[in-house]
Amino acid sequence: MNSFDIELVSVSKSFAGIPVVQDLNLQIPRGEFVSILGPSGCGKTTTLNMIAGFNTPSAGDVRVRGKSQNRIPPERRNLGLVFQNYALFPHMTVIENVGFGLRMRGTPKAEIGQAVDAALRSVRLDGFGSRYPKALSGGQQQRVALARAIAPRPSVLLLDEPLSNLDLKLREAMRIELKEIQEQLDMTFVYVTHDQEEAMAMSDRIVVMWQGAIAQQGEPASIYRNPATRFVADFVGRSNILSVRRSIPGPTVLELCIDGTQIVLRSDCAGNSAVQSCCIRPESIALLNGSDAGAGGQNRLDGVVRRIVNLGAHVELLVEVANGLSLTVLVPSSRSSLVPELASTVTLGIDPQDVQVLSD
Amino acid sequence: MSTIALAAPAAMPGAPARTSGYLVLAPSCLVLTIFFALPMGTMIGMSFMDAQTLSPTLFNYQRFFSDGLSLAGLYRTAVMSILVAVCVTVLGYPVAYYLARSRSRWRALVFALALAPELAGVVLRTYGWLIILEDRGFINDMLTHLGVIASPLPLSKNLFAVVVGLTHVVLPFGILSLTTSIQGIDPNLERAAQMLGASRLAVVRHIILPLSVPGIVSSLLIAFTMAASAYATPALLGGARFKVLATMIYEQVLFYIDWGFAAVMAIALLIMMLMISFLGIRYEARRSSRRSNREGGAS
Repeated sequence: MNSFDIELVSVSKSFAGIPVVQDLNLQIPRGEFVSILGPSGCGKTTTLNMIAGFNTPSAGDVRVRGKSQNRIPPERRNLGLVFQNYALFPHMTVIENVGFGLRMRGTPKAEIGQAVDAALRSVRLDGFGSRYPKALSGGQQQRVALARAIAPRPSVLLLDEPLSNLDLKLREAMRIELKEIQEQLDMTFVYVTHDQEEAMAMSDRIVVMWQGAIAQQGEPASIYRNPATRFVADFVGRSNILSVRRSIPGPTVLELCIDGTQIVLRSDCAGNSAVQSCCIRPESIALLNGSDAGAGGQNRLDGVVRRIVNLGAHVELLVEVANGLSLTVLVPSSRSSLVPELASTVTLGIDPQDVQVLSD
Repeated sequence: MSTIALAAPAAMPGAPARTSGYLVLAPSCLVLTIFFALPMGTMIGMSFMDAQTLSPTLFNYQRFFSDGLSLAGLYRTAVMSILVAVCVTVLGYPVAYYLARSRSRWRALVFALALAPELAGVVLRTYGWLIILEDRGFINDMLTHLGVIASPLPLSKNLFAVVVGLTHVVLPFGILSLTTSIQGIDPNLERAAQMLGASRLAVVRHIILPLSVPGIVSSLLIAFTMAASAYATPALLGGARFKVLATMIYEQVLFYIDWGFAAVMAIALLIMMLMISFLGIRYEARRSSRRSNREGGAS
């Protein structure tokens, strides 16, 4: 028996001839918190619906714990689903909502009571049981929806942008709580979102989807640090994406001639002469003092500050390093004494390991 | 009209919009007064009048309650209307569910077919049923030819025929009110129930049916009142053998020229319909207040 809770094997789905998901292969190990991240229209919701059973794949196979699900209706897949709009039953109390799944499975009444209590406790909603959903706040409704989905102990919990209807503060608090609940229950979570911060904060693994296919998957840190494609670099976090005119592989470093300029950047990445673009995260660019020589192999660029945006914790600078080429630089506010004046000339230092080569 | 004129100056400053809002209602108020309130008052007045002497009397009411024929008519009307209401709602529900949920391209066609009978007119449709149900009608003819039956089945001039005919006439209205109600139910609720292990049948029983109760109540009310007040269908399909209040009133006015007694029967019919509507509306109000009372006053 393998340890994958969910496997998608060459799954494709098209609606009226238009492909939405194409040849998707995905394996989700037991007990992991996996986020499917992508912009709207990338096929992530369709993928979730195929796992849940609301959409049938046009080709390929969806497996839950090794078993093909293609002919199994949603109600017999033993999966949980948390909806973006909560979808609580308005004519049932919180207790009835949370107990519904167990009732449908024919669990004895006494056991239902215990399981409902436990589920409500795990989302910290004990004492709200006799209320109707309408009498709860958005955050509380979201917790009830979560309790309802986990009460029957599904093998996998699917979450469809469950936090996007909450306000920012609550959303940030719920991120941490969701992760804690997932660890406590030791349940596999598949979390669909377009919010990369959310995915970063909670996931063991992120699957970035674009145009119906997986653009990149891996741990959040590695996706952020080593985006593989132009799309991922652009979608996950902020980055300076530069077009490369020519690249010269050397013995230790790769030299990248930036398009439209005389600038040559050294990168630690492996790559051949076919490299088209590279990216640099704004926070990995350092402001060097005149006296500061910088580390030996560092890229040094001179530029003029064209715009300063105060973001609170950080200050964002737009530095023009060549005609028609500006870099966004993020400087922590604690060193705000070092923030240069508008139109002043600055020297930027970029470590070769922070110059990430991208494929298209 | 005078209350409207008085109400306007009492409104808050800067409320000319509100005054004109009332003015917009004026034409319909006028129409309702002339064509609804006045005839209604006249009818109530007539019910207390002696047909010959025009002097005030309670005789018409006494007659209604002592004369077994009238009470039997009231009873038949009630039974017929209840049956029609139930048939319309039960038959209309699956169609309404389909219309509310389907995204198939046949949806528009089904919608048109469901409402098309309304275009044909009541009398035409009722004659259609007569052709089918008569003693020498389609069904009886066919069964006799096939040798299934020796003498015609009693398919017309009775309760059965009237209920069939009226169900057909009223069905589109039931479907419309049920469709609206089911459309108001978030489809995600059904998916949520499914994910929790509910079969299609369980979804309908635990989610769709309870949440569409307002639609069911209004479908029952609409069908009941339409059936109780229908004239043409009971007259053609019920005939002299199955009389309801509507046909009896017509008889009183045209054959016996007893306007007073006709008025009493009309009032009885009206009161029955009002009582049923009142019960239905109160049931709905109680249901929704029970839910909001337990909300503990939170927003």
